[in-house]
Amino acid sequence: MDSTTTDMTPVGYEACTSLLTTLLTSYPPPFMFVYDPETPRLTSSVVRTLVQDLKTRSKTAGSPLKFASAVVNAVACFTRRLFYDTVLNALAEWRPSWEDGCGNWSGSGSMSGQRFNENFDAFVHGLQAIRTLLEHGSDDLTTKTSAKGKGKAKATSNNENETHRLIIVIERAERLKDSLPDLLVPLTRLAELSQLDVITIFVSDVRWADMRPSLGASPDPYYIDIPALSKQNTIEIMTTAFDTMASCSSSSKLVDAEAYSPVLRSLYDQFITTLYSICSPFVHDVYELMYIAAARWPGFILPVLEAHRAYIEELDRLRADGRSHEFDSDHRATEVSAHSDDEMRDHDIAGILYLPTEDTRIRLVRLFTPSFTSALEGLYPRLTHAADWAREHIPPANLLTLPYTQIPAHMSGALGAQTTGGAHRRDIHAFPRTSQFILVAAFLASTNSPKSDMRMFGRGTDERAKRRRRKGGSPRKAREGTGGGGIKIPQRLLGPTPFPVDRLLAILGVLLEEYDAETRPQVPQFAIPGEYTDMEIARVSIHAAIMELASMRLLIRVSSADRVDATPTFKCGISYDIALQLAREIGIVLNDLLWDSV
Amino acid sequence: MSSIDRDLEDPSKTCIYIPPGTSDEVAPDVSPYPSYQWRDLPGGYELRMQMYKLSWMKCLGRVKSIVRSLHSSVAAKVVHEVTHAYTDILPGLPYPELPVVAISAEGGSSSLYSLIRQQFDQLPPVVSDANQRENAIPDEPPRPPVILNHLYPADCLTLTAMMKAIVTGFVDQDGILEASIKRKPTTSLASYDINLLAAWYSALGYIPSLVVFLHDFEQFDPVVIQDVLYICSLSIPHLPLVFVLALSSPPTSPAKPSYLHVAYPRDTLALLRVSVLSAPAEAAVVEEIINKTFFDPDFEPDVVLGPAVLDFITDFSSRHCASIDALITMLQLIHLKHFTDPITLLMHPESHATRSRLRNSDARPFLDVLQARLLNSPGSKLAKENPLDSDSEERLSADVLLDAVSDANKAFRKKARGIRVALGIMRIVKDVVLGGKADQGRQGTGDLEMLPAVLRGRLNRDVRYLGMAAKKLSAQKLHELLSALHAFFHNLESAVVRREEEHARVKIVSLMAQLPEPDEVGEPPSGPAERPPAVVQLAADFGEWLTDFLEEHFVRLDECALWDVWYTGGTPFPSELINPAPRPTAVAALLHPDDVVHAHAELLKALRPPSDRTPELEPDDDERELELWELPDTTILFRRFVEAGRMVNVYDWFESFKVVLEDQQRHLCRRARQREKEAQKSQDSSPIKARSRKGKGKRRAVEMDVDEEEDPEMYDDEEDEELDEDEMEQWSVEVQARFMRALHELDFAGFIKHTGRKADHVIRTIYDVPD
Amino acid sequence: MDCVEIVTPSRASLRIANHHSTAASPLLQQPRIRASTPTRSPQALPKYGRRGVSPSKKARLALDDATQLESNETPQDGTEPVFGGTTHLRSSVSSRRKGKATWRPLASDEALPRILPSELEPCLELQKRAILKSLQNLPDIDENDEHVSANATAYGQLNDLLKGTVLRGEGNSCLLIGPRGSGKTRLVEKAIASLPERPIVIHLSGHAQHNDRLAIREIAWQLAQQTGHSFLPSEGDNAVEETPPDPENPFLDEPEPNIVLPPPAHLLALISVIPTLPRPTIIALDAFDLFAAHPRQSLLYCLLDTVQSCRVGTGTKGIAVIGITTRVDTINLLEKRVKSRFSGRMLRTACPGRLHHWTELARAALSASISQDVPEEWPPLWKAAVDSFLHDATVMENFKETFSLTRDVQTLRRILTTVATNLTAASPYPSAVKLAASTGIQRCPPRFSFLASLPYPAICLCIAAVHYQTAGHDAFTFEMLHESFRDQVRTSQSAPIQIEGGGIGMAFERLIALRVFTPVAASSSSTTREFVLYRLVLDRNEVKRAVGVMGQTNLKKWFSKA
Repeated sequence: MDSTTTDMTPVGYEACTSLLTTLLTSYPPPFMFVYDPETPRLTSSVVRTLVQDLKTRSKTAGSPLKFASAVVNAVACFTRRLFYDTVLNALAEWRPSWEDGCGNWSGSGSMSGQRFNENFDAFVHGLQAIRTLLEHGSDDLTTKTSAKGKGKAKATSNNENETHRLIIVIERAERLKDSLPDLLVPLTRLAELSQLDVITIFVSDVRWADMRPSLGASPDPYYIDIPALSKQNTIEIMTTAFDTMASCSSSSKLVDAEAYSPVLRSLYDQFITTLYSICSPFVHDVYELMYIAAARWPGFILPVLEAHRAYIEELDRLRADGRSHEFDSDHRATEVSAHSDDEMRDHDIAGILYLPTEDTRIRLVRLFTPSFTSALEGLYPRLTHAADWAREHIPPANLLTLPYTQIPAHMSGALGAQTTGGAHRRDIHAFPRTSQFILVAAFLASTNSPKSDMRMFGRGTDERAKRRRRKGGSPRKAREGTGGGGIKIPQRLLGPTPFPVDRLLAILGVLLEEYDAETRPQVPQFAIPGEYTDMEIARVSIHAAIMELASMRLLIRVSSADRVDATPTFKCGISYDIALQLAREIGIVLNDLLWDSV
Repeated sequence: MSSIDRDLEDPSKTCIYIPPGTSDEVAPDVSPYPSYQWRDLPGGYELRMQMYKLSWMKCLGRVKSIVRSLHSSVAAKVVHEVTHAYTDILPGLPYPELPVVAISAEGGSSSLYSLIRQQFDQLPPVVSDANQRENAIPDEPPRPPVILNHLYPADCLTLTAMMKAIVTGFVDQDGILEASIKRKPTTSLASYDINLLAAWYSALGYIPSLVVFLHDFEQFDPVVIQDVLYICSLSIPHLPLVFVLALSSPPTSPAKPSYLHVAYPRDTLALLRVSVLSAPAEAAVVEEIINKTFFDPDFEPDVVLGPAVLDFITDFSSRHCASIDALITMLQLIHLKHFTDPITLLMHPESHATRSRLRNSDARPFLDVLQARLLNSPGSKLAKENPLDSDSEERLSADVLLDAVSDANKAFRKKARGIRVALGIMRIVKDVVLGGKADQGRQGTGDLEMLPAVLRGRLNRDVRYLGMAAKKLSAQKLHELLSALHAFFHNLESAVVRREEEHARVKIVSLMAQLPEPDEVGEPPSGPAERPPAVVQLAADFGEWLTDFLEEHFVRLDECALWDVWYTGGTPFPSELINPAPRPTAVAALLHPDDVVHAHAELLKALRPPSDRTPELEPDDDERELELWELPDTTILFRRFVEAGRMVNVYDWFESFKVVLEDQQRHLCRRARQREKEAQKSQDSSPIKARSRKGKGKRRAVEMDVDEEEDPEMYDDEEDEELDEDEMEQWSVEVQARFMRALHELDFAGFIKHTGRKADHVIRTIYDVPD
Repeated sequence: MDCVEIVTPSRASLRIANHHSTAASPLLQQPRIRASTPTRSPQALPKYGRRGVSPSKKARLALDDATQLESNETPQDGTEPVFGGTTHLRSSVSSRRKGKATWRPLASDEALPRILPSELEPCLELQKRAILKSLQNLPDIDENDEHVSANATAYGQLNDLLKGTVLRGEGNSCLLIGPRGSGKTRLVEKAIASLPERPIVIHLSGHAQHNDRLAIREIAWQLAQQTGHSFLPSEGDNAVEETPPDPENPFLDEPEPNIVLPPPAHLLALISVIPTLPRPTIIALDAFDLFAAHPRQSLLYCLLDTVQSCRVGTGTKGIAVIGITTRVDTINLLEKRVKSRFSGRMLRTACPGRLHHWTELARAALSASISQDVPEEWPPLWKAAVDSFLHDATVMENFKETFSLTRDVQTLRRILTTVATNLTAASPYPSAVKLAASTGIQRCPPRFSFLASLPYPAICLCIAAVHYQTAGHDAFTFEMLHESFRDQVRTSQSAPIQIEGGGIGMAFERLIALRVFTPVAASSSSTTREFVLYRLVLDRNEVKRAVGVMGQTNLKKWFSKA
């Protein structure tokens, strides 16, 4: 699954691999727990490969210890039946085929056709059946692909004195606690329950203590803690990934074909060290760093390649003109990546890509350093994905020749993914006016306490028309009073409180009356002040807008949607700053209307 | 009735229509527009509806094509993303990412999704490679390059259900694999096992990409989706799944490019390669549609929108909801309303059907009205030809009239075209002169507000301003502008328009010819101060021409003869039809039923022909506020309800109601008695009859104009103040009955809610009732 | 004793032989599954001859059960499951020859060579394997002090009990109570293994068989495996129709919502069959207390009833029910009718009661003898190493700590395993350092080992959380932390600019994933993620330490303000 790490055990993991190997090949404890908080994904891939090639080696060498292994994921196996099927099929190396109805492995030979996914006992029986399968047909296991030609258990002499060991590795094991709670204990005791030589290995980024079942129902595992990757190891893993990239030629339009040519390896090392030094305070995960590197490298190396290409063309032209070699050379002296020694000259004449000179490299790093931060900003939260980011941050042509003054802005990393956005792009500010009002009203309703409504929005019926509320004043004074436990925490930090839709409409009415009345098309028949607004907030389109916003999760419906007779209650779904922006657009000073304003 | 009973018995019926009891209510008037009949011709309604259908279909087709062209780019992008999801991958990624396409479009933009779907269907099928073609299976199943699977929140409530939906959605699609093999439920892979999907996929024999559509994605449970995405990400790339999310929420902030980033943790996002596409903003779409449908020189709509309607559309779409569906509904309403006027029968005066129909004798009254209009209207040349005043007796033949009408039609159409062309030119000039590039977004919206002004002919200031600005143009600006205008005229599609605007085009061309090429002028960048005199002269010339051109084209359409056939003019939009306020209306009607009755009567009166307008509502009725007892039972009950607290004690309610009714009865008796005195001489009525009709009469007592003649004799000779006991108890029974009826009406209307807790109490559902 | 020793393999071989003669029917193959190691295979026998040391001989010398158990495994050593184990053998042999030339065998009292001579490395490997193996089933130490140990007495009683059942056909029931890791299961296995004739053994576990229905089916299945004819036609059938195979029902494999008890008829039918079987039956119920939790305890009732009504001399075979549990009060869990049928016999096992038992265990495990022949200088060398290890004061101290924490032998086993696996040619001998290291991992591993290496934003969040704690708000939302963090950034410009770009939110999620922040309440769909309330699991000092390790002065300042 992890293309870069499956073939070799990455550095930093030698200890745990050797430990596991010794244990598994000698007398392992029946239940082990591999714990890695930092890079669980890498770890589980390491364990997977280890178990895998243990099995293959045990097959090829005529060794007396035979393995059958199953590596399952506790998230993927979210029901018992799924778990049983997956484990048994994997152990028996059985691949269900569509033609014969995707049948599971159902026992070998004469006792085939059993059902092993019914309950835990059946599962144990399945394990035992697999044991017999291994003992009898361990040599035609290797050839078998499907049900055909299986079960002819020719008991050859060589597999009489072998030990057969079943290994069950469970990744994301912490999920068992939630998804398969009553499978957890039996799995930890699998060896004694099944009376088999079966090893259960949990791989998780959560301590066993956090998922241990109650009453000490299951024995404590043999702990294997994976130490966090050191700086050197991380960097080495990343740089070795370069070699694999260089070996397999990628046919991607996003990346220059020569971007990963082995010549550039040392430059890549430099690149990686810089990247690490910038990003490591924020991200340790080697995969994240590799992700960022993959996004940045093509742009980083592009100027070098361009310069080289340009030079090659130049060279060809000169060759065509049949100019003299020395002119060629001093012409080349003006070339960006200046180089004077002979072997490089040979390279040039041969037109082979060569490593740029030291100062060029330093220049490159200095140019691109700010963009590393922006890459981290944009990519670590996945605001955009690597390919897009790489596409958007292709450096300008012949960057190396540009003077510093003309270095474009995006090289300094200021703007990341935000560049994608046109005048016609949908966003929350393109909402209809009423929806914006509703959102602001909802924010107020969720942030202010209902008690405060009268004071914030209460208007005497007589001057119900325009009347600005006095700024400051009462809320401040009211705040000292409510000094309950420690400092008072403003509601906008504690999160929105639910409100009935009537309250929303009331607040909306006040807002519309005070901030929207002028913009409305004038209608003669509403003489009484406020009557028009009352009519407006009762209109169908308002309720439709509320429902629309709820469907967008910008209003969060709290009350269940199927209860018709009760008045629905909502929460505000937008954050404080978005509310601020919206309010500004419709001319409301939000902080004047907030009970505890900032 | 029997049918209703059958329906009531039938459990499969979800909704049953019970027609109003015909017992004591007047049957509704069937003919749709009774008020017009005096100047309509028989069967005119049906004819007009046919006309309406034609022109609406024309308009709708145009709108749809515009929408499609607007959405096609997004759809194409989606298809591209999906088809290239696994081909073009950035090298060096630590692990393969699950490609996800998040389309953020408004909730009901079904057009976009249908477009996407059909684009997927149009993808060429994968050709089976050579070796398969050798052992050629005659009926080889089709090989679509993309297999779709649409999921909806309802069938994805749990993880198991959703996985099942995903797997079976692909596996059980017929026509992909010829014969689906029977799977044993217990001993084969579970139907929610992704390995089943894998087995099926490997059996396919070729590698299509599997697309999972998640419709209104916001409604899915994030907990479930997280696991599903994780599981799917485990089985890529050998199972090339692509997720397409139909988001209805727009991106809220740069930190949250989509709802996905709002609701899902980084661990999930790190598995995905999310590319966010977003449909064009609705406001822009609406504006585009309006412009391209009604103000595009190349398209000639049957019905031209008037300023009032445009105002409404602009306001509604900017204020309430700028969705395509809403816009289409509004346009259709406009068409419908427009065709209610009998005169719109002349929409296509040349059409044979119209002419033949109007030659019939029964069309005469219609033609009379038409003639009168034609003779009165200054614009029509019919008036010029025979300058005899409109009320002359001699009648012109149908054909003459119709010719006149078609002349008017031509004139109108020409003017309309002129306006459209002028608008186009004006936009171009604005763009160039005022450097419209700067405020592209705002200028778009301003455009929509500009249209009503144009139609009202209030644009002269702008036009002159443009003229002035044009005179100050620098050479290469001028060059740019002229070439743009030339292109505009050159690209006009409809031959008619080109013919009409020939001279304008010629003018432009000549100007361009005279204009020295900017580069050889060697234009100094320092402003128009020192422009070469030639350019100055040219610019002035052009400015003049522009002003004249625009001014002569921007005319008021409602000055044409018979304009209201093709032009909605000042008629307002029936906004209550699409944006009503049900509750206040209901409350108001309950509180003041008389006002409603008056209003309806007024309406009828207004629509009657001036000849027979009889004032049948005595004037004193309007200002006089009615007494409580004069109101219908429901209103009486409702008035009391308004005065009550949050919970209403039904018994007290009943008591108060009873009081009012007794008061009412007293009044009625008194009134009946005095009428009795007048009617002394006339025949007297049998009390039995009266008593038998009492109940009904009393209930009707309030419908003012009715009960006068309905039951004149409310008279019981012996009934003064006291009744004997059987009448007493009958009366109380009646009061109870009327109370229950009124109560039920309020209940049906949803004004009261029954509380389970407190005996014979009900809860109010509305509180702030204006009085 | 000897006869057990010699006879067992041969009988096993006989049985296997006639299995091979008959057609391979499932019922006949199963016993070979249940014989968990292929040690009793006829091909194993000749190896004794080939290999110099005969296990039986050794077994005669040492008359305790440990070696007996060990010698049961001995043939397996012949097929030492190591890749190219033969090469080890050869190299060791050769090394011995060389060894003679190079240096003389040293006596145990001399100082150990600092680094292992290269020719002895294979020996070290073999030693490691031997240790690991002996760790897998620890040898019993018979404490030869005044009173005989609990386990020994328990073993004696259990043995008599089972003998009574097997030989005289009694019906017996007893309860084996003891803390975790006190060797209950091993005791039972041992007792059963030491029986003169082979009974039918049925293992049930409260962890696997959650209800009586499952238990009954499992009993029937195991009976079928061992007796050869099925007991489950009817039961199996209506079990199938009890859970109709319904593919549409996604909860196919969820337990039946209402636990369907098999009709008592079945229970009685099946269990009353047991005494009539050709061989006596032993039923071992692991996690007995969980069985007591089954509704109506009908399984226990039937079993114990059968046991009680099993009379000697009625021609029926004996039946013994052994309940194994850690709960001392298990007897009180039984219903009256069940308790009345229970013999009330309770055997107690105990963990080793003295520290020196542990050390003895450790010694026995560490100084496990290598089965292959090694250069004769190795055993004294190794013995010396072990001695010096066990006499080290810090080692003893470490053992003492662990022992005072838990007496569970499993812990010791895990610790020693790590010690053994850490033996390398570079540092070939067990040492106090190694012990301390492995104890740190295996005894009770640190909850938050990663604190020191937390990324910058995460530490900031922790500090902010501590601030809120001191301000009297234990629960906090992301927004709260973010706010105070932003204030901190505003006041002291030293924080990196990058942080606004969501990095802080990512750190928050990370801390949740690491269980540093735990949610206060169950998550509801109506609260958005940044407003869910969390609690800080760390205490102030841990955060302080982490900040100290981080070593950023401004962070230290910020923290100190709390």
